[in-house]
This record gives sequence, C-alpha cells and structure tokens, in this order.
Amino acid sequence: MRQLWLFFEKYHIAFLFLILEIIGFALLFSRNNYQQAKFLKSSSQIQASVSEKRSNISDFFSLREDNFQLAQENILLHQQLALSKNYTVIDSSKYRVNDSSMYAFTLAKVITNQLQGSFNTLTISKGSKHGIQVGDGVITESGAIGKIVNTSASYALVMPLFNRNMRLNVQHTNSKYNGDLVWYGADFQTVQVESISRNAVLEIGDSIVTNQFSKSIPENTLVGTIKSTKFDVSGNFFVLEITPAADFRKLNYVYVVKRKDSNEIEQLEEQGESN
Amino acid sequence: MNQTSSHIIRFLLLVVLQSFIFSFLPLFTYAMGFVYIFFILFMPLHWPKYMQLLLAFGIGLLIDLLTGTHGIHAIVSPIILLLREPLLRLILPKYNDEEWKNLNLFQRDIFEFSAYILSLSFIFCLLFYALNFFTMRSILQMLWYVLASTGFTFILLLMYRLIFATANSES
Repeated sequence: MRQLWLFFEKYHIAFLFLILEIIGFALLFSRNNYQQAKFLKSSSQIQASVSEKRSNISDFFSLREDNFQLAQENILLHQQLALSKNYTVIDSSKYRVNDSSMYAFTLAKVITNQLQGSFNTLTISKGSKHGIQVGDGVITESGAIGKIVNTSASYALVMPLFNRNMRLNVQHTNSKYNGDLVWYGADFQTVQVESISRNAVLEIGDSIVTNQFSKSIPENTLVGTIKSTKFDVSGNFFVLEITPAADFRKLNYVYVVKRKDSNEIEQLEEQGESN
Repeated sequence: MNQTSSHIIRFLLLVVLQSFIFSFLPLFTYAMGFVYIFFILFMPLHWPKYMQLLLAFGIGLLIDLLTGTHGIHAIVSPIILLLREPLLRLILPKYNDEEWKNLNLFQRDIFEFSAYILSLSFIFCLLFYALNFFTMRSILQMLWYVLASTGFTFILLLMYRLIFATANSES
C-alpha cells in the first residue's frame, strides 16, 4: 500500500496531466451539433448576446455594400413579381404572394460566423419563438447557406456548407443528374459534390442547385458553380469541386426558409407504411 | 497591489481579450491571435506544479466554454505548460534550483524572450489546428493557418510585454 502511495506521489503530475487530457478529449469527442451539452448552452447564450453587440458595431461599416445588395435584390423581386401570375394586390404598397406558396421566409441576422475548424456553425438572431425549427433551410439572395441544427428561444445554430457533417441533395442543372454535396474540410473556398454518374456531361462553370429531395432548402436554389471535375476511386462517379455561390466571409443577413408542410411530411415518414 | 491580485487581473483580462475579441477577429483570414497563452507561459516557476497544471487547464476550459471550441484549448494548454520548463532549460543558461525558482521570465533579454514565446506559440498553433481540422487532407492549408497564427500570436505577446512590462516588473 505504502509502495503504491509513493508511486502516486512520485508521478502525481503525470497522473493529473493524464486526467486533464482525458477530460479535454472527452469534451472534444462529445461535441454534437444536434445535442450540445447542457452546460455549454448557458455559456453560448452569453456568447451569443455579446456577439450580437459586437456585430451591431461592425455592421455599421458595411452599410453601403448592404444597401447596394438590397437594392439589387429588390429589382430582381419586382421583376419576378411582374412575371408571376399568382399575386394579389391588396393596396398599392403591399403585394401578397399567393398563400399556396410552399415556403415561409424569415429574415435573420448572422451574429457569429467563425469559419475555423471542421465543424463550423453560424449563430443567427432568430430562434424558436420566431417559429424557427431544427431542419429549416438557410439561404441568402445569392445561394444556399445551410440548415438549422439547434434552436434556443431567440437564437438558432446553422450548420453551413463548410461543416464536415453537412449533407445536401444537389443536382447538376444541365444534365439533371443528382449528387450529394459534402465538404472534405480545411478549404473554405470549395465544397465537393460526390456520386454524380459518369454519364453526366459536365462543364466548368455549370451551376449546381438543390433538387426536390432536399427538404430544408427549396428546390432549384443555387448552391455553386463547378470549379473542377475528376473521377472517384471506382471511376463510376464524378467528384466535383464547387465554388459556393454565397460569400461566406461576408454574411450579414440570411433568410430562414420553412417548408409549410414539413411537419406533415415528417409525421407521414415517421408513421411509415400503414398495414 | 499585491502579486496575487495582479495575477488574477491578468488572468481575467486575458480571458476577456481572448474570448470576446481575438477569437472572433482572424487577421487576413488565416491568422488567429492566441493572447491568453501569455498567462500560461509566464506563470511564476515557484508555484506548485499541480497548481500550474490546473490553472492552465482552467484557462483553456474557460476559453472553450466562451468561444465554443469544445475542449481544444483545454487539451492544448496543459501540454504547452508541461513543455515550457524543458524548453526554458534549453534556452536559458544553467541555474541552480534556488535561482531557477525565483527566475523572472519577464526580465529576460529580448532574444531569450522571443525564442521562448515563438517556439511555444508555434507548438501551440500546430496542436490547435491539428486538433481543429482533424484531417490529413490539405496539410498545406493547415500549415498556412499555423504559420500565420504563430506570427500573429508572437507579435501580440511582444506587444503585451511592452505594454505591461513596467506594471509587472516587480512581480
């Protein structure tokens, strides 16, 4: 017993070090975007409110650019509105898109945008009390951003394309072949699209959009353009390098897209086959 | 101001600087400044070793909680704490135990100081980004992050020393 005690005493620093490292690694490997540890939650609330203040200040410096973007988007929306037949004019200043529209949009501000590691997330300033749910899509006027993975009362966590857990059903516009969008990590300029059949005829610069299987992001939302193509190890599928359409470094406001019948679809899928 | 309170103030100041400013302000997209490792590098050598370890782990864990890095800082901080003594013995001339314990790391000349913080911030950044990316793909990309962040951290630590050199010279 005494020997054992002496042994511990001699190497107590090494033991302490080992214990601390084990705690650290346990924390690292327990990270999960869907179920963040409880004690992390309160601290991320503090962090979110501080980040909101900080981003309020930094927003001031990009007002000019934001204005320009909004004006451009306005023009685009007006054009679409003029072309579309299902809108009703309620009064001269308000247009109302027909209720049959499948999606509801919510404007949210990005308050933290850290692209550093492999499992990046964005925090936005709208949460469950604004009707945001896990699984909703997030887009900007220029393209797809990601999907909601966690919500608190007034904030929500977005998994962007630059996250190693991200999976998105996409389609090559010209050939209509479907593929899966993934991210291999480390490079914040490109994402990858796998399992597009080798029969597809692809060209550099072609657009990749979301397809009808992506429940969160509306069909035909631009994701990016092809930067380079090669074949995977089996030689049967393409692996594409894609430049995302949205500029992730300059995210300021995003739209959260909710499919209005998403609950119904989910229920149906949970029930499975009826006997 | 006595020594304990000046250490506590330094601890809190570095945590706030790190978690509210530098963790969210990457310079030229690649360079992150890890100012808080200053606390770990300049803990007095006469403090008991287990306390140094716990403090290094504590400050790392605090940064993790505040910036959402999930334990990466808590893993790397104790490692560089354990590495600092062997490294110091390499860089500095020989001392006996008594002199060693009362060494003031702050008042070393600029070459010894720079060699010390540069090498440890490089090790820190290397471990940090290796754990952060956790992939062997695009090593080159990771190396850019490591080098840029090492440089930025080094400059920040030098600036910190210049600003607070007088305040800490008696400790």
